[in-house]
Amino acid sequence: MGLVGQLAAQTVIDSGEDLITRVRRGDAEAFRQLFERFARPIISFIYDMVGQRELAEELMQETFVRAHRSIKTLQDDTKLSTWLFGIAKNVAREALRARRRDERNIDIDDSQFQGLSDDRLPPDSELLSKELNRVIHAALAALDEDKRLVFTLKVFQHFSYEEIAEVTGFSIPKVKTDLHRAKTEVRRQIRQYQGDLGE
Amino acid sequence: MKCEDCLIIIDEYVDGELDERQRHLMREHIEACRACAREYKLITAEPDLFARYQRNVEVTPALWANIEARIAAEAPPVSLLTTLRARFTKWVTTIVTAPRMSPAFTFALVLFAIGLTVVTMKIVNVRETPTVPGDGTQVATGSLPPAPEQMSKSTPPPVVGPTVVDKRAIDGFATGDGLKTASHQRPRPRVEKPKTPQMLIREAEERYLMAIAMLERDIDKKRSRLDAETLTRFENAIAAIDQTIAETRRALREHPGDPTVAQYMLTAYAKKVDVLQEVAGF
Repeated sequence: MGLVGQLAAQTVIDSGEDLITRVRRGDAEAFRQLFERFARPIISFIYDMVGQRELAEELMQETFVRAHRSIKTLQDDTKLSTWLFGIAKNVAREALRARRRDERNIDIDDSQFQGLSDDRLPPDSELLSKELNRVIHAALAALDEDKRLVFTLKVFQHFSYEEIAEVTGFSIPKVKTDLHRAKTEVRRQIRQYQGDLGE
Repeated sequence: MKCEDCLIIIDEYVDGELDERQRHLMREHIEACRACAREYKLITAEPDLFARYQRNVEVTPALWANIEARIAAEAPPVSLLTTLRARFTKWVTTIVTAPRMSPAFTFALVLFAIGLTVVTMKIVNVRETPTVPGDGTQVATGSLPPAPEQMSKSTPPPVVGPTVVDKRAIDGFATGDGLKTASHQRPRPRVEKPKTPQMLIREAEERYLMAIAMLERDIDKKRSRLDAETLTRFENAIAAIDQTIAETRRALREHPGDPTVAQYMLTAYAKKVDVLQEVAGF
């Protein structure tokens, strides 16, 4: 069979492959689909870990570039989400270590909330949303890295304990313990806010 | 159950991770204890609270563009041939899987393209017996004929002078354009300058261009009768093929002795003829 026939046959065979197989094969379009599927959760996760928008954008790009480099190491039974979040976790922790080395404080940057708005809510709800954001952002920043990691993966990304253990490398008992303590600390900060809401 | 015991496992209770016995104990305690009931209510309201958490980040096209650029910068340099092969593969995949083409028709096109390519490559590999140019004999020389995009539909196909063509070359062309003999000389044994593969490729290209020009004129007459969807698909297919032709022509100029590039180019021309024939037949 000549070149054109081979290409035609190959097209039929490839049509049934799933994303992970195509990504592992180096399919550029499949990698783009991977990006479109995971870009938002990844950047949200990294932002929760590092607390700064510009840094989160930079680290998100680094995550996908590293993912592209290590695509060939993907196993058939690897879950794309845990694989990617594992890379994002490493990227975020490296950045946090570098920041600690530079002796920069992890301050709450209130200016990050200036642009926030919710056009769909009336003005008083909008004010509450900004305050809520500030309180949650501060609560996350106050957690140590391990607790922040487990908390964001469980509460915001809705990972299971097993998935969190796979991403973090922690044992499941440590995941549960850190999560419980993280929730206790975060609740201590947001309870007053919830009390303000009259709940 | 005591409150301190309840508060230890209240998260697991909310998440549905307790066994039936523990769930029963928790239910009973929460119904009886106002403090724990309040805590339970606040905990069950947390998902909604966290769902309203807004982060000042968004995924913009610029982020993907940066990622693409970084990946491209890290990629090892690929040869022009590898790039062409990848683009050719993508192009053929797009054309062959076009919904309007039935499997049988696609298979027929593939067979036709294969046959044409095999014949053309045979022609390229044919070596003329050494000859000496005779009187009045002209051979096709010069650069590649003008690119397809330079030919307007109203202009006649390029006439490449009186041409001496090997009869074996003519017999191989399925487009059946027929022989073009040199001027008006009576057939007689003559000594010919051996044709290089490049000359034969140019001749094959010229024939394709003539066939394409004729088909395009036919289609122009029928264009108003084509529905919008067919017209759009046709124009998209032709645009993709023209791009491949342009790239393969450029590659052939840079690598004139590369038979693979010549094969790609001639196959692209053949494909264009096929598509034009299909639409002309509407």
